[in-house]
Amino acid sequence: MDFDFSTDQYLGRDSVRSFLADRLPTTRLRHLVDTDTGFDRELWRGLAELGWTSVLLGEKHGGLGLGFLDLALLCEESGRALLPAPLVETAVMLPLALEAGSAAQCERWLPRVATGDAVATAALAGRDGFPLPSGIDVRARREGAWFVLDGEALVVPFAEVADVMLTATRVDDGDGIALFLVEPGDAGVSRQALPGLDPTIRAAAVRFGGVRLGRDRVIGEAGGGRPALERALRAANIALAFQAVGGAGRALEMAVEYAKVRQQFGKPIGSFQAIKHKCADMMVQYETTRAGACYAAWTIDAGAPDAEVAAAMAKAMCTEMFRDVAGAAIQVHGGIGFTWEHDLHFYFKRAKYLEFALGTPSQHREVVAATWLAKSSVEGDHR
Amino acid sequence: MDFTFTPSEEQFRLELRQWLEEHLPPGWGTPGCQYPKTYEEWVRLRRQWDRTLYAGGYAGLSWPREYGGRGATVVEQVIYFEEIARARAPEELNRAAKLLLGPTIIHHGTEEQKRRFLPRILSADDQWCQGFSEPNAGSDLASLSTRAVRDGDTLVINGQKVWTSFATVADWIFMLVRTDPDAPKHKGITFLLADMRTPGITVRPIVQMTGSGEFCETFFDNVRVPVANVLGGLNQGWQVTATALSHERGTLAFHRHAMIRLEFDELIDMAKRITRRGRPVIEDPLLRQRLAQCHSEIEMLRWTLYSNLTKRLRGEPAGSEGSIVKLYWSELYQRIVELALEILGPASQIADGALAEEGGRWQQRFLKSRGDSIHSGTNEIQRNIIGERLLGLPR
Repeated sequence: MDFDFSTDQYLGRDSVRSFLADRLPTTRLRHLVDTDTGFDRELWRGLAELGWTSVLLGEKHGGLGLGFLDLALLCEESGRALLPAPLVETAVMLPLALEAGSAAQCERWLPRVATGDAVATAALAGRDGFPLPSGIDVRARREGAWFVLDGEALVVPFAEVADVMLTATRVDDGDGIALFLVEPGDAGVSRQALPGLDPTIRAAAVRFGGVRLGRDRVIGEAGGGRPALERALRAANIALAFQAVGGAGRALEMAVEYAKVRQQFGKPIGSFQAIKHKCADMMVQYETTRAGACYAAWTIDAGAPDAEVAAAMAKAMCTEMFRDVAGAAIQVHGGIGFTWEHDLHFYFKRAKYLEFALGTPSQHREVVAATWLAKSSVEGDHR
Repeated sequence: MDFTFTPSEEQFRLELRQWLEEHLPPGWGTPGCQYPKTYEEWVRLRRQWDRTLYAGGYAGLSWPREYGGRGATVVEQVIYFEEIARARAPEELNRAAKLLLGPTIIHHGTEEQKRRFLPRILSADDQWCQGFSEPNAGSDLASLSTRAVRDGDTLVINGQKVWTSFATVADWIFMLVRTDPDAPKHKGITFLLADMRTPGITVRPIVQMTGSGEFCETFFDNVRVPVANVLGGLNQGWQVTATALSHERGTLAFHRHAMIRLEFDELIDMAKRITRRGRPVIEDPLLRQRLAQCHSEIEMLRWTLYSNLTKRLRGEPAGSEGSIVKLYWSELYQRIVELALEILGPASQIADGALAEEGGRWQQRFLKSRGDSIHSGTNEIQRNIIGERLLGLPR
């Protein structure tokens, strides 16, 4: 029984934290917000050199061949530093989806993911926001040896800089799913930049207007893409949960630090129970949901049967926690917390991005509830 | 990260599970089981259960073997609490003595005290009650005013204790008294053991808001107790108590988690059975969401406990994270029982009798749950502890 990360995993976390503190201070983040793409390719290559994008890749593709637990703390750090990059899409979703892909597909993308030369994103859901079972709005029709894609995916992060888009489609008129590797140069793909609520996540609406793709772009069998998509989504949800935990940890620290030094009525405001208890509640929510994310991470590597539910719970609980903690941190700061000059609003906005990425918390809670209806009765093994 | 138990831990679980099947009162834990109706019957049953546990070698699980305990590992204690919850075993009547007093005597007691008191705690020959709180000393426990004045080899006690659960049937009380009124309030307190048959002790039951219960108030009028019954030295009571209170949380929380999980699974079954507008409640979108939220939080509680357990296994001392757990489960449980009553709908108003759903047990749980955010340190005190000791906020 050991419910903690290993020493090596913590060492990796520490090196990444100091790298990001050095290369991505919030002054740098503020600068990136004003650039065209909102993305820093040099920083990305630096992260790749540290091994971030190769954790889940096999050694034959230049990867480290490690497990999800080795990536979890890195995701946490990326959330803490508000990394403006499609890390989850590139380092989690693409490699896991490509486990069902051909050798040629893996060879084309994974080595470049490992070196940081390729950036990926994911175009999965339309206005529903939750890809499965019915949120995919792109349809792929068979035309001889070709597939023709039509439809739209909304809020595709960093679509402008992505070299490849993992795209989920419905096949013909049925419910079967096909995952495609769409490239920005493919004719009929158009991207419309969306002014983001979170200015550090540059997202686009991606439209597919008669995009003709060959079979070599389909991951696995057209119509049989659901297991690969589920595998990618499950891990991505947990990765997003860890980003939320990382951001919340920093917001909580900022609130507590401020409560210790800010004086009103001749005392530090943290000595007032109204503030102290608010901070205590933030910590309770933070610690308990983080434990849930850690368990969910374990289910991925262990192949546990409850992985899907654990991922759904972690996603809903951690992102709602981040939302609450970031909001409370602003409240603890008072007027200064409401300014653009203070960094907290970036955390508050990132929390809202993570809360709805890959589906809302209520959609994820529905995944939990659905397991009860599937069972005729709760295991009555009480004795 | 590793969630597997060792073969010897699995063996412990299997043996305990089988032992429970063989030794629980007949029909116990099954839907048709007739549970005791009166307080007196409950007390009798629970005291008998203490004796059964003792005979089976499951009393004093965490105590060292040299003091009659089982010397169980922390993981075995966790397994024990999970299994007795799963079997819905009766709660031990002497739990406070086994979890708080025994370890405190082992830590602070004289050889004579250990020899005299420890075996009789485990065998249930001595039933203990706890005398800490007073009418004017609840959350501010250190301001207690029950006095003990030295007179030769005895201490003479005058004052009043409240919430002395099971005092009506207790043989002994472990209590805090003020022995130096001139010292700062934390420094003049003594931890004292008193025989409940000593002249001058009067016990009055207090009826709880559930309508039943074990609460009492206990009065001390010139009660003479030997100085030899002081535990840990005169005026050392506050430090002695700090050890006692830290025993109260920790592995016991695994029992709470397992009980909450068990009751929640019943709630899901109930939500499948009870209908609204002709459809099972479980299909109601809003109630489903709230159920899924509670389910998720019970899981978060579980992994938080395992995270804390890992720290214990690495030898880190039990710290203030117990406050996080206490705060979390008590408020979660209150939301669960309120949700249960909402699912019951109009039936929630029928607390007993033939028309009551499930014998009125959800109504009992609903009322009882209000105590959970008060006992063992109110949730406001827990928030102070989290703020000050874990986050370092100023007092």
